[in-house]
Amino acid sequence: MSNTAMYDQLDRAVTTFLANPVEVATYVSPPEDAGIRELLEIAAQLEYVARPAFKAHLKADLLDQMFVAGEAASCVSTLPHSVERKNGNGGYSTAAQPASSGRQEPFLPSLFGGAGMYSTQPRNFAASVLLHATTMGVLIASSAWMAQHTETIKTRVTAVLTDVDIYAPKPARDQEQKGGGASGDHSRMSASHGQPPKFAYEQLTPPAVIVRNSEPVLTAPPTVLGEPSLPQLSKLGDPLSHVVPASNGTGSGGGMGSSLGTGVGDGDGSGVGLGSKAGFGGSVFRIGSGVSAPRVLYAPDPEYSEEARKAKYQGKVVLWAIIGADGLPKDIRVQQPLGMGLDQKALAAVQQWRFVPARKSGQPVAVQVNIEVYFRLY
Amino acid sequence: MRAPTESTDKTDERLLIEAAQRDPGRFAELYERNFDRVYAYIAHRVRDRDAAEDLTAEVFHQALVTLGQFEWRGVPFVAWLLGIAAHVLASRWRGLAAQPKELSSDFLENLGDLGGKSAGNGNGNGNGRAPAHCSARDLEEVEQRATIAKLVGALPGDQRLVVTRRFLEHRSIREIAQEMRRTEGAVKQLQFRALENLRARIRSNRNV
Repeated sequence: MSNTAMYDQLDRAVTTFLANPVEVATYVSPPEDAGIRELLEIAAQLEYVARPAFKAHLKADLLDQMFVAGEAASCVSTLPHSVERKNGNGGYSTAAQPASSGRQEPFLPSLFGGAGMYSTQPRNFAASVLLHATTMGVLIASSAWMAQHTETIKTRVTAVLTDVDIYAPKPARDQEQKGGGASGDHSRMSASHGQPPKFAYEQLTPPAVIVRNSEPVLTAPPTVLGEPSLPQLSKLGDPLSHVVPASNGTGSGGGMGSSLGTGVGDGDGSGVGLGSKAGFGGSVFRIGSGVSAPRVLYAPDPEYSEEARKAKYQGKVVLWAIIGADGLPKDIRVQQPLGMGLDQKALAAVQQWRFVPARKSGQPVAVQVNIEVYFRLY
Repeated sequence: MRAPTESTDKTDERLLIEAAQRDPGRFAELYERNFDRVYAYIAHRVRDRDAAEDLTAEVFHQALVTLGQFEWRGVPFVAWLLGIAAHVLASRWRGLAAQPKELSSDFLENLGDLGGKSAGNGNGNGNGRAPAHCSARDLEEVEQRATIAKLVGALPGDQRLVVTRRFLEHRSIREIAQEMRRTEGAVKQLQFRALENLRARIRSNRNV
């Protein structure tokens, strides 16, 4: 028989045997196939061999169990079990038995090592216990103190003197800005409080809160001369004015103010402020560009309003103020209100603040600043 | 000399057991030494490979849990394991007896094991003695059957793969040929050579 024929014959026998592994002799009867029969008998013994994958899987399973085997063994050893005993009548009765071997199993054997999983250092164990106990004690004590002092409410004030650069425009078209704008329409009142209109390189329409010509032939948005990147706020007016009712001011020439010009303010230009040109000007500077920031000398904390304290209301009030050359705050206004009486409390507090004035070229000058007052409950 | 070897083996085994009792992680070594024997013992009694695997897993899980109860008394550790295996088998057959529709050939063949021949209690044999039916001859038979597992492990790679796929996993020649990227004729040849190799090694083992 050729080798190939032998391989095929063996394979046929193996296939049949695997499909129905009853008796090897059933498949190979001719004596000349004794060799095949022997091989098939060997193949039959392979049923006692486990699949390698199963062996590996079981080992992995046992490895997982091994980590808890120490405690599991002690738990199992303490489980009561029943024992069958012959009773006097020849039958069997069961009786519960106490924990098995009589050996006293240690409590939490792995706690102090020795259960085979790892070794412990008594010193380290003691240090760990002490550290945990201390931490727990501190946590408990601080919690108790907090519970006893719930009525202590503190306010936190943060004064942030910010550069008003966004309101102080850059020099328009390389011109050094010296500010200034003004005018009005011969109103009896000074220009009302508000914010200057949009800055632009050209001015087609001067700003006016009271529009006299209700049907213009050609409309254009009101602007003041200056750097266009400045933001425009909602209500037109003079940011330095205290007048509330709408008024274009006592000046003339369009614009809003008390002098000549088409800008906003008491200057005579087309910008904003006390100067005579474009941009934002006057004797009130902004921090930066050679102007130092004022320093807080005395800043008493504002009080919490009763209404806000009861409501546990907290937040931030933003104030706008001019810190004069004498270090006193002036023209303090609420820029971003908070409500519940806290705006007034912030104003009242900041009015008492004292500063070291800002300096420009060594000389004290007035600057515009934003002050953030935080109200926090602790 | 045979006796010193036996003594050395027993000493080694005892040390392994004690080490495993102290450190459960060392049980893996006992597992490797005795897995083939336990599986061969169970596989000889149940004709279903899946059932044999389940029961073998049960035996080793129980052994790991109850290892602390084992006391060395000079009897091979495998005898203790086979005691657990016998109990596990008996439990299985009692369960089958309660459900007549599921009677299988292995149950019928092993009816004699019901009724108390099994060793130990629900937690395995805790006294380290060999079970009543696990005689020295039984141990020897188990050892012989387990030997073939070791011989399969010693086969060359391709032959071992064919034996594993064909006889342990019951794959067809075609599937094995596709996996090994060989022709069916080549796989049949490997199958033939593997069985010849095993036959030669078994004969060699018997002559030692």
